[in-house]
Amino acid sequence: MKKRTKKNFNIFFVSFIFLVIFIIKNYYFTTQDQKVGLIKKKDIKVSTRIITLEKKQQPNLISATPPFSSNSKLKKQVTLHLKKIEFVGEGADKAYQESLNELRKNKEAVTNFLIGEYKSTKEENYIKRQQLFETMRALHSKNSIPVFNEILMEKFPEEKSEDLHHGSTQLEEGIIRLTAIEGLGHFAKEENNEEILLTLLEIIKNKESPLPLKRQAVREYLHSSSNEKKLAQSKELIKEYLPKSEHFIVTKKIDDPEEQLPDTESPGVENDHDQHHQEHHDSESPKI
Amino acid sequence: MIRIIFVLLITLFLHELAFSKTCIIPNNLDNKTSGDEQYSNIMGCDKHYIDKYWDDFNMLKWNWNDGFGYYDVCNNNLPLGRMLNAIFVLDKTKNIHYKKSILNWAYDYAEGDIITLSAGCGDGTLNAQNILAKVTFYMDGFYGGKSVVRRAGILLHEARHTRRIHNGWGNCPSGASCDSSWEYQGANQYQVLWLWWFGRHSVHTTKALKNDALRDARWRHDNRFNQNPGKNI
Repeated sequence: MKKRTKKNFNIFFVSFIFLVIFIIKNYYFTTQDQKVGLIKKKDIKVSTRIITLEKKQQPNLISATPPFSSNSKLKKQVTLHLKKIEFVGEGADKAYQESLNELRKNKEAVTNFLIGEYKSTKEENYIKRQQLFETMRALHSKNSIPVFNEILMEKFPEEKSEDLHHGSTQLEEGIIRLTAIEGLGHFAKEENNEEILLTLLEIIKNKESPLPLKRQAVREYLHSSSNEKKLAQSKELIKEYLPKSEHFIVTKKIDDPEEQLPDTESPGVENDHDQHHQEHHDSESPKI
Repeated sequence: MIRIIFVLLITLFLHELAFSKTCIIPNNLDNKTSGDEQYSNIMGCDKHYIDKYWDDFNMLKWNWNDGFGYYDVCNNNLPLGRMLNAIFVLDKTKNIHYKKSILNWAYDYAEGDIITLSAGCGDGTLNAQNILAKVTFYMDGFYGGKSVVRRAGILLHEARHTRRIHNGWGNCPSGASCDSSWEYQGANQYQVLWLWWFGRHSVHTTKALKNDALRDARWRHDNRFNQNPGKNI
């Protein structure tokens, strides 16, 4: 009995020691974690150095671009427009479309400016690069054709992300190229531009082209066909360049998204939510 | 009983030791380009939304303090503010004209299948992960050049992992992130479907943002499934 009491005492003692260590450690690491969010002067220096190096290493994305204007009024106008791309709320699209219409009044100069902006944007700033391409696509200026052509004829970049699950650099590069193909598609359809149709065929023919790019190029090529006969001819031509396993992409059909409910009990029942919250939430929400 | 307490103490100690790290908020953040500023402005730092999202996603103070934004909740530079913006997108992009659309239930689904939404520094290799319904976003998930809309898609994707892991075993271009098929209704199907609906029928957003969502959906559709779903997005 005495031995057992002594054993229990030992376990209690060891637990107590762990508890003390845990409290001390927790205090120490909590203090360490306070650094998050506070940018120290030292850290800024490090970041700046990294950015500078990256800028030097950045490949020249567009080598042959039209001269770009440094007109400050244009810069202000474009900067304002890029902000409007991300507008949300009532009237968001109206404000965006109005801004786009303003840019269209001077679309050649604006496109030249956008090309210059694109050239000076860091490779990893995918959102901005995409926004610049989307604006060029929407403006439909012929000045954008060489830029779209050039990026589409480049070798598709290697994957740089370590977490493919959530973020892939190839996805980002792919989205930029999908925008470029759509941009060329406008001229293929409106002007039946031979050179552009050849570019689209090059993408389709290239075995290295990712499937979504081929699919978009097929869609734009087919949309350039002015009648059913030409459409059928275009389909036959494209199929010659694609392996049989990819023939299913030879269509200009666009589906509506599917209606689907979750495979659980409908989560939209308010009572369930209330109960759910009462069950396991007692952490005070942050104060404003 | 004593042994259980003892084991619990050791577990707690090791757990805390494994995840205590120091991380740095990137400088020169462009919150206008990412859309954080615009969504945050509409949310208006409204206590109603903050309380609702905090409660619905069972967020806990000790996950979001220490610089992660608990004491500065409306700051778009900090993880909590950026997370709330993404949740706001899931919540506010509903379209009542399409009752069976994922746009209408994505928010409820995500909050129902996430036990706790948490934040951490991470080691730079992961953006987010779901372990036993606890979803943790890491620094790359908050700041890795993703727009608010894309962040919202990732949140839904992670929520779906509570019920479905990826079952494609690397047999598609996205390696370990592949699902066998569309019909499996895995995390990729939920994310693609949400982006697809967002691109076609979301309200109060711009055509440019919708186009971006559609292109994202097209890319994932052709790269994330072993068997191509064959949808024409």
